[in-house]
Parts: sequence; C-alpha cells; structure tokens
Amino acid sequence: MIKRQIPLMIAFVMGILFIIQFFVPHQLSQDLLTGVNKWLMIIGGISLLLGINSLVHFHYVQIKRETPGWGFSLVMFLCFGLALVAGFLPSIVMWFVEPAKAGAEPVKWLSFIPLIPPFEPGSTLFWIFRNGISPFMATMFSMIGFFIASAAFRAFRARSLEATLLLIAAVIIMLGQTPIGQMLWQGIPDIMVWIFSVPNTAAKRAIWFGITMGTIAFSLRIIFGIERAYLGGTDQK
Amino acid sequence: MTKEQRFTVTRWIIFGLVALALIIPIVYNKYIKLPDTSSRVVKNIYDHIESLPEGSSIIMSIDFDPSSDEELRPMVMALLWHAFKKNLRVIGMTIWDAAAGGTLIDIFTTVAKEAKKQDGVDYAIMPFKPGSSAIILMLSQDIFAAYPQDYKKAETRDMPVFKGVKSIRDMKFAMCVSAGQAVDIWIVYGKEKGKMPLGAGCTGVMATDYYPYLQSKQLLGLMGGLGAAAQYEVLIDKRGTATDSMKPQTVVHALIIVLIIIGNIIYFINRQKT
Repeated sequence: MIKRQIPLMIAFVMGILFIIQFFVPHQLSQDLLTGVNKWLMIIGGISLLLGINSLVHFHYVQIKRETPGWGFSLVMFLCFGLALVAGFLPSIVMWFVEPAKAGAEPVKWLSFIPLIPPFEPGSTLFWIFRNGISPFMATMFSMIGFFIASAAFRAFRARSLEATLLLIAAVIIMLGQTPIGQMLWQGIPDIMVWIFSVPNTAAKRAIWFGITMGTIAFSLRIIFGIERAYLGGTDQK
Repeated sequence: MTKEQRFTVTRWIIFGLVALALIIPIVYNKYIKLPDTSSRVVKNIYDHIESLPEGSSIIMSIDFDPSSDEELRPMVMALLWHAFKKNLRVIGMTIWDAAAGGTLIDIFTTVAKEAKKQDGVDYAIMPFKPGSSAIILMLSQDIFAAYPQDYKKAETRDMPVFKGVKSIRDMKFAMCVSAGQAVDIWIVYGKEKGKMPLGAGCTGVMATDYYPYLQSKQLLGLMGGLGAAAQYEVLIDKRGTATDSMKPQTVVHALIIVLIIIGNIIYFINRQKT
C-alpha cells in the first residue's frame, strides 16, 4: 500500500496541480512553482551523488573481478581522486587560513597550495580542465571527421532515386556551409537555406508532433497511474 | 590484394588525405583568402544586439563541453565581444555541468579582460546548478531565487549588473549556445515564460533541428557551427579563430565532395562491368 499507492497519489496530485498552475498567473501559484523548482534542484544535486555512487561501484566491481580492461577502471579512480582533491583542497585550506586573516597565527605549512577557488583561472582544477579534459575530449570528437570522410566515400552512392536525392542534398549543404559554395555559384547558399527551411522543417515538424503527442500520452498515463514502471516494478494496469 | 586489405588501404589513404587537408591550410593559413559570407539567420542576432540601447541586460547560456569547444567557443567569444562593445550588461550561466568552469568562466573572464569590463558591474557569472529546466523556470520568475550568489559567492542582489532586473522577463535578449538539449529547454521554458527574444547557437550538425523554431518566430536567429561564428566575426569586424578555422574546414568539405564523386564513379564503372 505505502510503496505503491502513496507514490501514485503524489504523481496524480502533483501532475494535476501543475497542469492547473501553468494557467494561473496569481502570485501564490508562482511561489508554489518556485518552491517546487527548488526541490527539483535539490533532487538534481542528490542525483549527482547517486551517479558518483554508481560510477564508483561499477569500476570497483570491474577491478575486484579483474574483468578484461580493469586497468582502465584504476585510471578512472586515479583521475577521479585527483579531480576530487584539486576541487576540495583549496576550500579546505581556506577554511584553515580564513581565521588566520583575522589576526591568528598564519598556517605556513599550507602556503604552497594555491588559494584559488576551483575552476577560476589559475586553480589546479582549471589547469586539469584546460590541459587534460579539454584536449582529450576535443581529440576524441575531432576523430569523427576522419571516419565521416571514409564513410562518405563508401556510403554516399547513387544506388536509387532516394539515395541520389540524399546525395545531392548532402553535397549542396556541404558546399553551402562553407564559402566554397558561394565561390562556385551564388545560388548554392540560397538552395541550402531552402532545403533547411522547407523539406527539413516539414519532416522535423512531423516527427516532433509525433514525439510530443507520445509525450503527452505518456505523461497522462503516469498521472492517472496507468504507467507504473517508474515505481520500480513491472506490473502494468 | 584481398577485399579486406583493399578496404584498409583505401581507408588509410583517405585518413592521410584528410590529415593533409587539415594541416596544409593551418600551416599556410595567411595565404588562403576566402570570400565573406552572410546569412539572414545569423544577421538577425547581430541586428538585434546592435539595436539594443546601452546598459540593456542580456543573458547568455553556455551549454557545451570541451568536445564542442573548438566549434562553439569562437561563436560565444564573438557574441560576447559584440555585447561588451555595445556596453550591454551580460549575465553568463550554464545548465551543463561540464561547461561550468573551464568553459563559461574562462570565456567570460578572457573576453571581459580584453574589453576592460568589470565583474559584477558589466557582467556576472552564475555557478552551475543541477535541474536544468527547473533553473530556467525559476529565472522566468525570480532570478535571485535561482542564483542568490554568483560563482565567487558574492550576493547577486547587490550587484550593479542586476540593477532593474528581477527575472528574464526584464532581459532584452537571451542567447543559448549549446551542443545538447539546452536550446530546446530554453525555447520550452525560457522563451514561453520569459517572452524575451531568444537566439540560439549550436554545432553545425544540430542546426537543422532548430529551423522550425525560426519559422514560428520562437527563435530570433540561429548560429550553426563554425561557419556562423565566422560570419559573426565579419559582422563585428573582429576576425579571429572562426575565420581562420573555416579555411581547413572548407578544404576538408571540398575533399569529402571529391571523395563522394570518385566513389560514385567507381560504383558506376563496377556496375557496368557486372
């Protein structure tokens, strides 16, 4: 009863309440939304902790079972630890140093740690971001360009009418996205904009209408207790 | 040579050609001259910022991580430079955790230093907070409830940059530069509740997703990829990274088109043989 009926009741009440809230401009209604949004932010923060817990647990199990590639899990723990220390250390040191500013004895042995808040230019975490995370992620992403070139050579073949149309559209857009299109013919950028604005928009709208109708239907199923998968069980009404 | 070996060799030749198509224009960048291009959707954003009176408040949501940094950073830098040149008050924020420090703070402090702008007076940087849509909804009601403090833990209410601003309804413009779902969130929650003009910036491949919003006037303008950033640099007359990076990108695009043509010629020859 407690496990199933109470969450269903909360989902129903909150769902109906916030459908109504959207159309009520009264201050009380706005305050209610602000309050609930604060809850959402807190829950979002807690979900980050859950994410960390899941990450740590997964990699701990990988190392414990010595599954193939478990060394990468060790690297993960090393990087995780480094980032954690770099993030928290300045704040901890400041906690020691702050009283010293008010006339107490300065904590000399801590002076080698830069007292710059995390992510501000000059801080250790900022250095890790700029010289570690940033080039690693950019490298991984830029490799896609090489694979796209190889895939375009093999896959973009005029095998049928549909494939030919796709091929022509792709070439026009690739030309239109760069100054080369304008250099070849002034009309190419205009054709590109037409492709984006007419056939592309028509197709996108159709897809989105479908997705939105599905989302509304799914939300109503949750509000009225028909969809219960979020409760953790598998039984459906 | 087996089919497998032919596949590997062809692939490595293509990789080599792409590498050359990137390296040569980077090395000989100053010798390559490309014509200036412009598009209406990019110019709409420029025209709107240009039309704003001095001291107007705008908000910029920077929602991308380092994987899209090369493509989107020049865009944000050009927009921010334009806003500072026009003496607008700029609030910087993010709903993407990976953009919080190295991206958002770095871009704002770098451009502000160059434009000689003061933190808290001409601009403010908000810290990352989880709950993306909830944050945008709160901004449409009370900006100080969403962000009581800036990233340096200074009280936002006391900052001159927030003078006359209670929510995003008081903003003259909002710009979201994103490599994910942030633009959608801004349209659904920010634009509909805040009613301020909204512009979007995204990676080149994402631009097609947002054209319907241009037609429905939910987006004032759209900047898609490095090309749009280069166009903006031309508009503000401050050519930088985007203009330079367009040269290798243009050469690679041309190479891919040539590869497609060669691939199709081979395909038709083989089809005739069989």
